[in-house]
Amino acid sequence: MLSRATTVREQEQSPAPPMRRPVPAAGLHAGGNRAVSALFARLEDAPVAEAAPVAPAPAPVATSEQSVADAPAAAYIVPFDRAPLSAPGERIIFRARFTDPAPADYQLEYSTTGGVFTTVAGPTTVTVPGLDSGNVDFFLPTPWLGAPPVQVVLRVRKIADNSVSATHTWNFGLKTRVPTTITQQEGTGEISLPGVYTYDIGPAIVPLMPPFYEHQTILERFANWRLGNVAPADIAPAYRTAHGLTTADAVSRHFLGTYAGNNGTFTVNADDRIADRHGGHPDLRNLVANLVAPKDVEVELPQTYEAQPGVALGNYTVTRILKADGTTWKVKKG
Amino acid sequence: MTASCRVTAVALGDGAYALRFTLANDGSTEIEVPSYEPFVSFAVRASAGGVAVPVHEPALDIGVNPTTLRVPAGGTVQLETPVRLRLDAEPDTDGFEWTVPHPRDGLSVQVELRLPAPFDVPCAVALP
Repeated sequence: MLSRATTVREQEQSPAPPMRRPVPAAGLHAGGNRAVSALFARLEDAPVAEAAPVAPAPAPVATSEQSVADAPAAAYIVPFDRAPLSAPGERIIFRARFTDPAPADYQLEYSTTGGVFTTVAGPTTVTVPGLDSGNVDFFLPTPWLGAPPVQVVLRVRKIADNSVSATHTWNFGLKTRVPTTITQQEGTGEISLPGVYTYDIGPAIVPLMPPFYEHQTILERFANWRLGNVAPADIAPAYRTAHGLTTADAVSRHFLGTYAGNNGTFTVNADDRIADRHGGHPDLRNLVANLVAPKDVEVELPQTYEAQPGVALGNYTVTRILKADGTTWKVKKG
Repeated sequence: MTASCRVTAVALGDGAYALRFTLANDGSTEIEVPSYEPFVSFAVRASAGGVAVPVHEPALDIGVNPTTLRVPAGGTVQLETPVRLRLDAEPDTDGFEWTVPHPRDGLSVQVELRLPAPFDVPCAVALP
């Protein structure tokens, strides 16, 4: 049973070897075995009592397993890498979501030394009520040569007693080289939704040994999605006329609304790779009900990766496809 | 059975639930399966009165981190997901907010893991 060969169903492809990191993944807790529990009782999740923060500082930690179990559970914390390498002025997107039966009892506090949040002239602290931060923009200083150090600290604070349930710290370093190539490992044909795509970051640097770009941050941005193959003539005439759908853009806006992805910051792993998952889909029941005839419907989402501010590393289009049966979803990317 | 799964739904109020997965290994050797962080490798099915109820999963485009789930022999691993399940709600546009247009009463929810064997199993769901 151990290390058996595996195949992931429904096109969530078998992932590349995991990135070497000093802490286990957010959202993972071992149980039923004290040794394993101890292994996963990481210091960063331990609760502490602490005064309200003014500036980031190393937090004292407690190691009570009971207290750890009572703290909000980490479900999603990005960037994944806690020692990212970034460029001067680069925008980094943080996001954290924790689970607790009483999320309103907590707040998430981001603080930094060396950078700013929200805008390039923004504050050095951001506090978000509850346990879902949403996207929090962070900017590295510019100019910046790697010193003084830049640090971001996330604290999960219980409002009632001002205690800190968890602390997560990112220590930024300077990118000393910038990748210029990105290569999708999967094909560009249709696969079942959701799909996970893996990218090799390059080029290799001779005569150095890999990894060449581990820890480097890569920003993804999206443009608004659109219907790629639905024209006004595809819409039932009465509906088309009633809603003034005279152009393809108008058809897209009417049936899709606006969505420009969920911008985020990737970090290159020890295999010089990043992985991207595309799942879910828009609600197209109204469109399907008003097509002149059944057809595949393509929803195109343009995506750009960049390793240095304002310079595209790669441009892709994520296309979700609702098949003519009206229920089956596929995805392709290229 | 060597591998099993259960899901505990944590009520967050306003019809929203967090989902907490417990993977159990009743065997005598550790089980390893590849997965991704954050954990979103599952599908939710719902029914009421024997009739399927649609579960809307909005578009979600996020970076993921390959990882390995290791479930010790005779032990369990608990997985948190950023996905929230909201009942009696119309489709949302937040990719982490999956919705079911049916109230809690009379609703049956099932979860299917999208993990490799032996964790390609259905999960029993306890809705409070």
